[in-house]
Amino acid sequence: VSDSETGRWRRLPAVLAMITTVAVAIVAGLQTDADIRANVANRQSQVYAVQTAGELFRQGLRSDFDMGATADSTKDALESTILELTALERESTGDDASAGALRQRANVASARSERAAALSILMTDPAYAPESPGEPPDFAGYLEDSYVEVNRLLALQNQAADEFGRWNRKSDGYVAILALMAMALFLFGLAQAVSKRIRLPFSVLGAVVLGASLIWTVSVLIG
Amino acid sequence: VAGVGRMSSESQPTPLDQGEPGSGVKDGPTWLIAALMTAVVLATAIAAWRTSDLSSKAGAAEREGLIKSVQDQSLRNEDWRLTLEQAANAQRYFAAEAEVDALVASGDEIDAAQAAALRQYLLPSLVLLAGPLLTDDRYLNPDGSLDLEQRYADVHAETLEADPPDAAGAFARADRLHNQQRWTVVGTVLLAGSLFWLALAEITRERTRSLALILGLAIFAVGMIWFVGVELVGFVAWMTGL
Repeated sequence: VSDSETGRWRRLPAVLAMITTVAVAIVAGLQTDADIRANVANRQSQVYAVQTAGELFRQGLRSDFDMGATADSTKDALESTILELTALERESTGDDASAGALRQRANVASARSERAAALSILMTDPAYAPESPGEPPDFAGYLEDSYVEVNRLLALQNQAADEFGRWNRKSDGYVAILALMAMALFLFGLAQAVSKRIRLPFSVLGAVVLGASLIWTVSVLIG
Repeated sequence: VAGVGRMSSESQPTPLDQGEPGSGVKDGPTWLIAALMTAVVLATAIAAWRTSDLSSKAGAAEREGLIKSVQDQSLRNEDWRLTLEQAANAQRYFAAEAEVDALVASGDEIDAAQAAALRQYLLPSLVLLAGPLLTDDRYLNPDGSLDLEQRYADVHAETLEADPPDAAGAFARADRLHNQQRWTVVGTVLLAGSLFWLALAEITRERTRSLALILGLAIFAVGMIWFVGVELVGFVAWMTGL
């Protein structure tokens, strides 16, 4: 290898190292941006998770109240019916006094039942209320509607979690690329320190590593 | 390095191959460029520290926001619990009231006595337990049901008056710090660009060196102005309470 041939490549490692330095700065910038986006998505995912848990808690309390009011109303209505039947039974045996007392208790239970029914969304809302007396309310429809908000928050939480995963993978990819570029920088530095005969091979190897890391950067960027 | 002299006599020198730093020829600019590169490296180190500092502060603001989000949700949960507890007592009151009315309507003396006792002892207690749901007409719907959403809104408004957990404010601060971090990194890329041109000036001579030096200096100056601008904007945002 003549001096002129080695001279031609004398500055190559230095120039490649300079290019690598700029590339490192750009990839570090991309990594920072990806990391920030991952953080924001992660934080949003956690906020949605907290809100989902809160909505589930609220929904539990609300359905407990609504179902409780319906159950109380139904219980009192059944009690009233049973007392009426018992009163009829006592009447048939000629025990009018007992029948009268039972009817009075039936009236009280009926009044309680009607008032409780007025407080329950399951008995007052046309969407769930029984179409005719004696039929149960639309529990399935009520439960389905109850979880609309929970499902909406859960979908948002999943979306944010997916977003976090996507940016986190990009951020990790950039970290690996930075490590690769550090290797290229090492090879270019070594190329400047070694003898002229192996300067070019080291430079070429470094350039290959740099090229691979640049291709990887583009693939992570558009991926 | 030893072959440089021989090379220049054996082949046509290119701008990139001309001269050698520290060869004794035009050492002045070489030292100037070296000093400038040192300044760029120092500025880059400071920028890297600042980026890390901003990242830490943004992380702290995010944690604060998350803690406040949990606090906010806990307060909402507690307010719903209180609202529905009052609603359950209101429901008991209405049932007891209906029972009292039915007992009075019976016309029976014993029933009337029972109704009077219930009215005297039970109903006032339930009114106390049900809170404003029974005393404030705004919570009673025309169909006889209770407006629980309105009651919850009022309870929660009272809670927020005492100590509102401002999660959105903490997240806005985190976003501002993240943005400042982003712009600081862009400044770091500018510094790396100036380092490239200054390094090129260091290894070249004459016109190429001058051109590279001017470019390196210009980008360095832009980078420094950039940093000052980013810091100023951040400072103004901090002063205005963002």
